[in-house]
Amino acid sequence: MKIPVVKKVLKLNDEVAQMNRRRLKKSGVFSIELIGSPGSGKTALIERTLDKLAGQMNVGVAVGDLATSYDAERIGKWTEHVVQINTGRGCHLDANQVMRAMRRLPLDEMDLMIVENVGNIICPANWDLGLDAKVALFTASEGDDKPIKHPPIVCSADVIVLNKVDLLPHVEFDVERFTNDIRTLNPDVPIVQTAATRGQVCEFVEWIAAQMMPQATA
Amino acid sequence: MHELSIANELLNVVNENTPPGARVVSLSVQAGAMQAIDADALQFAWQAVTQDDSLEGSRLEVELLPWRLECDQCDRVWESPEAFEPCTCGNVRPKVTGSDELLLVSLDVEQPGEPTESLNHSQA
Ligand SMILES: Nc1nc2c(ncn2[C@@H]2O[C@H](COP(=O)(O)OP(=O)(O)OP(=O)(O)O)[C@@H](O)[C@H]2O)c(=O)[nH]1
Ligand SMILES: [Mg+2]
Ligand SMILES: [Zn+2]
Repeated sequence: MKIPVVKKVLKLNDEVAQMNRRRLKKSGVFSIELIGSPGSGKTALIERTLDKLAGQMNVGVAVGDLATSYDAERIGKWTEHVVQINTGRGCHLDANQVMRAMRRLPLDEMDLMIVENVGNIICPANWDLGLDAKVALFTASEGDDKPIKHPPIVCSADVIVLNKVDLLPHVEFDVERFTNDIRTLNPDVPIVQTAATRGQVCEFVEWIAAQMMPQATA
Repeated sequence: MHELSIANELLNVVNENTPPGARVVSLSVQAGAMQAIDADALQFAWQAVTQDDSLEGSRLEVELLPWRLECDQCDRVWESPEAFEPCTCGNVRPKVTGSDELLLVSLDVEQPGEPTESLNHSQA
């Protein structure tokens, strides 16, 4: 006997993501998720962003990794509101892990929450965490063809960061091709350039500020 | 390997939607191109998560849905196995608008005592 069902497979995850969304809204926290390959500079970008935002807003951070709390220790130098999520075998964060991390953050005191996903640009695309915006991070050293090889992450991104632009003079990377490929998949997405370890993260920080002040023109 | 965690979620949704006492013979899932699902990997993961479970041996059918493209120059909407495909009007940058669904669409179940219908055991 065939019975029609038509249910979202990730129903539970999506429900928890909705709960996260409501919880963050209640506390008036703007929230972003960082997705990028291992070593693309997600933690470095968060560190420099925290440096720039120091004294301007209260930021909480949750960092996901299979193992270790190295990233949380690095972030801990910039803010006391940091939670490490270890996923064990998991190649991505899910809404439930983020919910548990949120319980350990002082949401009511915070303005911004940054979640660093596990280094991976494939799997995180499927899992809604319930945050306001998805940041997809690519780097000059990975090659300009990475967006076109990973359409799901590009399609779902709210902003694309090209990090390690300090390496552009040393690698073969066609910024125009990179930009055009992204435009094909996601025509209106903003693309910002950073060199996190050099402290050049202004374009990214300005993008965040613009999202948090919808009235202001970016 | 996001297929493994998806298979685990699927297990919950199947259990929730199986009538009490029934045995699941097969189930069918639709996955949009944006989900980047590999059908073989999902089927393999399904075997792994249903091992030693009442769902062991159930057959998972995966229908992969194509990309959905939209041309903002001539308003054409079409589907393609490729995410990058110029429009027939010459526009080389049509918009990708989908598909991103991931759905359990049906369950084929057998009530105890009911004769087995082996209509669909032909697939490899
Ligand atoms: N040249 C250059 N190197 C960078 C930049 N940003 C990060 N790096 C280097 O890239 C390496 C990885 O940086 P992380 O911040 O740990 O990267 P991540 O994405 O958090 O890595 P995982 O969490 O392990 O996936 C480090 O050696 C950084 O020094 C940059 O803008 N320019
Ligand atoms: Mg990191
Ligand atoms: Zn057209």
